[in-house]
Amino acid sequence: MTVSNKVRLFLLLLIFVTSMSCSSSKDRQAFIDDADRFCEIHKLTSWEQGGRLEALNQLDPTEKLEELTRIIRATVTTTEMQKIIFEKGRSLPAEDFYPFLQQAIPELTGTPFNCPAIPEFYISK
Amino acid sequence: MKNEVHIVGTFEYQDGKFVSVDHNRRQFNAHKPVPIPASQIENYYPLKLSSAVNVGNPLNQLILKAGVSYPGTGGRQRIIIEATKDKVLFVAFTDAKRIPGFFIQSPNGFHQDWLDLVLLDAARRTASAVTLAEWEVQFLVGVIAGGSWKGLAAVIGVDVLEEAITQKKTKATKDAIRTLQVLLAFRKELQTIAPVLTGVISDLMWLTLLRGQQQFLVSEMKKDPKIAARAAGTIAAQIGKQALDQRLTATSFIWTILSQLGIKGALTIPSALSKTVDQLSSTDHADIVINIENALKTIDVILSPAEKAAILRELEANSGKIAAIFTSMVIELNSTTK
Repeated sequence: MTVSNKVRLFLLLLIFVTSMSCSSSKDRQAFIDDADRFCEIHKLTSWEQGGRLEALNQLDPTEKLEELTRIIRATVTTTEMQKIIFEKGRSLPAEDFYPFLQQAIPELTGTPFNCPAIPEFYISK
Repeated sequence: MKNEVHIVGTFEYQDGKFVSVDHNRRQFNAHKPVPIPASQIENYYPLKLSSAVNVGNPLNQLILKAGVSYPGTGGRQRIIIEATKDKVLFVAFTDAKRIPGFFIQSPNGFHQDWLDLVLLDAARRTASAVTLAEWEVQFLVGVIAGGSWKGLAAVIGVDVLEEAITQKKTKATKDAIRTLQVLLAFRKELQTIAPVLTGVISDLMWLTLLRGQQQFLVSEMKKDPKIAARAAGTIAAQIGKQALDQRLTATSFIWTILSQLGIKGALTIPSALSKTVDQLSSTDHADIVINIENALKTIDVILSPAEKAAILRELEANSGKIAAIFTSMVIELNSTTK
């Protein structure tokens, strides 16, 4: 292999690694956004604006169930996060759901996941 | 009659034999639904039809209320017949087995089951079944009502009794429920010694009570098919499938009247029953059968020769007991609704 070929190969590798890094960073941000939106939707404050809470609570129990599941599901857009939350997470009992998310979501986002609104929402008190 | 529902103990197979355990109590304390025998609901009086309980925080809250149906776990639809801060009584059935039953659960447990559906994202799987299930709930509640006066009170009460309470007619409401209780208890007693007569008298009795209102009911049934579904469910249990085809129309009217005008109708029961008893007071059993036959003709119900013969046999075999049942029933009703 000539020197120029070595340089060419090095440049190709550099471009590949850089693009991978950019892509990974982009994905990670998408995961963080998903996690943030999923957390926010379980907070009372996000429903209190614009009369959304009143409208939600005027629905009958079946309609409210449908509306909540539809809106909650729409907050998560990436396939990887959907797999964690809607496939693996939802097969667990309610009390195990949040601990599982705290363990699994950081593996995608690289940051801790803290959202007390989630257990407050899913566990009846 | 005690206003309590007891959680019944169960048996578990341990060390090669069945032993009585408190499994159901443990389940209830763990906020799980526990089955309640229909006979208990039958003796549980009065249902707190107007009570409601709010569970959960402002976002995930549910209002638990009699007469409202809720999606439940395992594809079950649930219709609450009573909700207080201590317990929720509800009817549930499975789509697969079509067997309705009564259940008791803590309000938090009931709420948790609903929240589990949100967690499971189950709405999209149950959404298409909700409308259909509502019809079936109406029918199945009707079936349960047919075998249990309390279930009957639930069916009527959800629509009518609550309204009556709102209008400060509490005594009238209680009287109506109590009257229905006595009637069904009477029916149960008579059933054992004169089953054919019981079926016929049930129709005759309701007819006597509610004569002249059929016209109103036809239009009501057309306007709200749910009422017809309820009535059909009740009738199926009241008179049996064999007689259903023959008597569906007339009895539907009657039950629909009870649904729509339940209190007014029920309150007239004692005096109307007295007339019915008068019709049965002849010492000649054949005359009694003719009286019944003529009365039924007015609602286009024709007694078959076999039915007539069966009633005659029942009257001849147990005339003293039958008369005593009718007499005690009228006394009971008169004392109840004073």
